[in-house]
Amino acid sequence: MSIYAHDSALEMRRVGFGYNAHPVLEDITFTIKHGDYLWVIGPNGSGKTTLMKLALGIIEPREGEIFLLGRRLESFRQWERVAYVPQTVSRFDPFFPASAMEVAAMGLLSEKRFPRRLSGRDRRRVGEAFERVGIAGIMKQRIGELSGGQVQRVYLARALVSTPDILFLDEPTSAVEPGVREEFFRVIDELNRTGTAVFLINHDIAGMGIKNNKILFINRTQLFFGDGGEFCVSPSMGDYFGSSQHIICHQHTDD
Amino acid sequence: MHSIGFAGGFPELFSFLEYGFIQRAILTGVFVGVASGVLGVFLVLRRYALIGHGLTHVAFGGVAVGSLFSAQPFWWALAVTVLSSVGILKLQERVKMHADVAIGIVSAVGMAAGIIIASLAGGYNVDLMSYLFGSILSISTDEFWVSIAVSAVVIGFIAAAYHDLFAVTFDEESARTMGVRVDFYNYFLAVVSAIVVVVGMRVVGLLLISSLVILPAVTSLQLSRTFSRCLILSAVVAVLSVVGGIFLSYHLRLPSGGAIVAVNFLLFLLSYAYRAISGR
Repeated sequence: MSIYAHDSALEMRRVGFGYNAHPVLEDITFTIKHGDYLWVIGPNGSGKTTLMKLALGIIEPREGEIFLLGRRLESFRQWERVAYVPQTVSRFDPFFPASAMEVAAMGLLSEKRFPRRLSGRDRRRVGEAFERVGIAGIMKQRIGELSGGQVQRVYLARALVSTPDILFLDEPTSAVEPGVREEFFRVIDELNRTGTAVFLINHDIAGMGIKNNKILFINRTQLFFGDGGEFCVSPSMGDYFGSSQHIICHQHTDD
Repeated sequence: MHSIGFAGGFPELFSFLEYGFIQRAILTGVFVGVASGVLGVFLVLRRYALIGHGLTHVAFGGVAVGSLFSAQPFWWALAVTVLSSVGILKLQERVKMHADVAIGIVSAVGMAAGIIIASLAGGYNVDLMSYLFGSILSISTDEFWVSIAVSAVVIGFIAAAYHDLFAVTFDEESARTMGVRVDFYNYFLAVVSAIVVVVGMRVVGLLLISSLVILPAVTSLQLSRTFSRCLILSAVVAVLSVVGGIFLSYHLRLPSGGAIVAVNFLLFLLSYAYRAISGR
């Protein structure tokens, strides 16, 4: 078995996951290329976050194969090419003694070797990332004092300090103020245009254009994978989605 | 050491520093204090604070076994405690047990083994008591060097792995996606906890070592806004407690272990009051 797949950003082949006898995900098969923008949708509890954790090697699949940036996940080591913006809901202790700056600087660790050290230049890069997401003023604040939306922007800054080849975002704007949301996605779009593949879980579909995105629709199993345009004309998806398909696809014509 | 010739009683208060046994005690306390203070921050934030306490019971068993076979129970205690600490992690992983339960089981078994072995060996002797209550003022030259060397190695490793440990403590899942070897660091912290407990048992005694791990960290958490400062402040608080405790112990003829914990708790109260008053 070769450890190299073809030149994809992320590929899953018949991936399944479960706890004991209880299956959570079954038979997920899809491929995204470099520079693709994948939008993963599905109802609550459909396994979206589980799918992302599988792709990142946080949990191991029960069956199937996963290739990240062309390499079998078990032997994948190039974490400096990957960035992850996790869900913020109850992620950490609000009294955790760390500044926003320290949290974002973690994003540079993957490009360092042991013993990892941060230079003055590294700190400047972190400062630039804060400016890019518009929160330069809160760098020195304790992370627990920030609002949920500010923490999400700190996580985005952490993802931006290195220029990743693939960016994973799990409900990244769930707590971000509506005005900032567009700005948030503009930064992600910008990154995507320069070639970064994006894997996005976003529950909040209002205002999300599907553009040239790929869509993966799951509910424990894979119901649709393909281009956004295809998704909109798929009658089976219309049955399943009802008005949501309309909401998603209506945006398409606006873009 | 020469006392500086200030007039009055003030220099006399510090004239005890001239004694070799006091110098050894303070140096040991400084090294062990820094190691336990720094480690404590990781353990407290990872909800592992009681592992120190659990491991003391195991170390007691280790000392009992050791005193059967040799005059230097230190190495026995170290080996038994490190193995047990790793065992606690294995129990959690394999049997899917919560940390507190795993710690409870391993510590009870360790303590029971200690009691049985001590009774088979003909009851408790004075030596065993000195491990329970600590006697930093009577630390031998060998123990002094071993404590300093082991603490220095622990401090060095934590300093080298600082960013990795920070990432693992903040969020294990994200740390994994940054190429940090999370499983390795879990074992690393388990082993280091065991080492600090065994080295610390001579300083404050097995019954009180968990206070040297938990209290400085909690004191520092009241006041720190960044992770790096939290570690430094915790180490400073631990050292102040040990040195202050030795000072009180010498002048007021108090047991050194108890005096160290008393100073530690006082510093915690002060930090708590400061935070409450400053409204942070």
